[in-house]
Amino acid sequence: MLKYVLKRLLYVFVVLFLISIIVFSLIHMIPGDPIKIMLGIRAKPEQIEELRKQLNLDKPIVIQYILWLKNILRGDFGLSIRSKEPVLELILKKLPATIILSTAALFFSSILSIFLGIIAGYKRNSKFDISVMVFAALCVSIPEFWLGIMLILFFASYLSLLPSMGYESFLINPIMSIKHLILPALSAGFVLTGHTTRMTRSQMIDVLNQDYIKTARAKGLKEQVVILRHALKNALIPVVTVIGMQFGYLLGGTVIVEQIFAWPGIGRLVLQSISNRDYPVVQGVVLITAFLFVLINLLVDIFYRFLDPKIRLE
Amino acid sequence: MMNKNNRNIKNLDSKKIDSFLITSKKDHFIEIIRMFFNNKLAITGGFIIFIIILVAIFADFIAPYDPFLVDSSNSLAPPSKLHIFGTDQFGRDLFSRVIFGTRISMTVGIFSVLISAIIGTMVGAFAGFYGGIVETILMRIMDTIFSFPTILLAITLAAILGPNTLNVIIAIGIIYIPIFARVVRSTVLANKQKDYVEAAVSIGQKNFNILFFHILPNCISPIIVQATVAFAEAIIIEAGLSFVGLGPPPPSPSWGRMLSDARQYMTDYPLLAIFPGLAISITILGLNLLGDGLRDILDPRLKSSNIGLNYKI
Repeated sequence: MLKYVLKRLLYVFVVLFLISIIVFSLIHMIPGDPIKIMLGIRAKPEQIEELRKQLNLDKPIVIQYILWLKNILRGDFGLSIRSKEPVLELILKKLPATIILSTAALFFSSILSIFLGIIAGYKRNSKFDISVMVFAALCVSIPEFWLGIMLILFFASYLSLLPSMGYESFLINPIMSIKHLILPALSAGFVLTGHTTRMTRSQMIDVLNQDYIKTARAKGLKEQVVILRHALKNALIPVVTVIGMQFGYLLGGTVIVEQIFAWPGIGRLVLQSISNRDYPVVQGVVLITAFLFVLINLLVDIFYRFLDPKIRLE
Repeated sequence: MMNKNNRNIKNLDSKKIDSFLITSKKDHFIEIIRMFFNNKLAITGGFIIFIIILVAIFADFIAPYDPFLVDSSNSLAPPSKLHIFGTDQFGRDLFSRVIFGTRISMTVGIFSVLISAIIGTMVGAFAGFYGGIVETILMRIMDTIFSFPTILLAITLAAILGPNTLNVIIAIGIIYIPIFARVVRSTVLANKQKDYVEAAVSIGQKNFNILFFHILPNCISPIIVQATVAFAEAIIIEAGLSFVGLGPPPPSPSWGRMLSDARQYMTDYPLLAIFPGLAISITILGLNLLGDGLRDILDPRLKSSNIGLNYKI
């Protein structure tokens, strides 16, 4: 087990290294002179030269990369072109909002999908199962930004029940905070619900066909016990790992939902920075998101191997 | 008993036997077509997509108005006999714009999937077949691309390359290469062990020919299933990119952009946002149904058959 973890860590380092190369080269993929683009049309030549020196863009590319990497490892992600704030601080300020949104979205999505998936898998081909499958197909087909807009239209404009945008801190006003959270979380988690429901259902079907379930029933155990003690644990392990990976994906994937609901997270930060041509911030967000995604996947993977005794005891 | 036997033997002529066995590629193909039409999911999905593709191709003839025709005096009109869906904020006919939107979505979908599928298949095939350091390097690069959340990577690439249709196609194409690479690689790995490969090697067939003519045909079915999934996601990503302003520039009738424009007028004129969104949803639903149906048909079939055997060795 330990050997496996070490091997995975090594592999993760390689991937992180390659990610850093890609993120670094993003700024060089811009057609045209990145400095002029960042500063705008009215930039004076001295400003251009100054920014060029500041971003080390006048040196050979390998040296640039090494300097950039050194700074990143020290925690220096550069300064935002627009607000002159350190990029890392800016990102860390906005990250908690995204984490809250992702957690809420995942929470709704997982509870609903696992519940639906288990029952649908148990009562395969029943009316309930077919409606669940239709529901899952719809979930996957409806774009989340359209859903967000429709939800705003219905709950905020028409019913005036929930606020259509913004964020409220839980510590200041818990009820309003949750009200602001509901619609964005529903939108962000909707598509995931479809995937997780399907997966839970197919896992449940697979497990229920296994021999040990037949044995448990033949032993005379109550159906409830069979399901709860034997079937669920095995069916849910892969589902839990997928949910874990979805969390990593959501951290970078809530961009559009955050834009629609004016949710102050890193997704919205990225979009704003893109319109401002504030590329150091964009690089910082992409880098951190990718890192977090890889790390979360690593943790989920290890956790999965730990949970599943068949693999743990190899 | 005797009669039954006699009857059975009489009925068992060579024609009947042939119809049970699939002895040629043509029979196999016909069998797949037959299964397709028997599968409700595939038929429904296929039908929806077929209609949408027809609409995209014949948009000029189906749409009652020019989608770019501005008519400010008639802006934000509700549905009427003249304008089935009503008009948008510039007086353009919404129905025509939705129809022409199919062109953008289909173009982006088809070409980006083509790029991903071709490059991804090559990468996966080489990685799976040759193994060793080639596989390690290629798959690590694939994993790296895979480590970025899709929307974020799409937005970043589209922002950097510039907002137009071609760049959207390139961006989405790059993002989906790893999925095809993984699928093809695992199929190639599974097939490498099979007997017909050993047979081909022992006759002295060149490696590349083995890969291309024997192993790859077995990869076609997972590639097709993956392609429908990628197509659907490509359309959603294109809509998302257009929504945040990074897609085809205005006045393109991209559905995503129509949604974004509609946000301002949503409370008073909700139809502006409802119709494009419905168009996207129906298209994606069709693709998903088609993909599910194809998966049902193709996967278990091709596990049991061996197309490689039907080629001249």
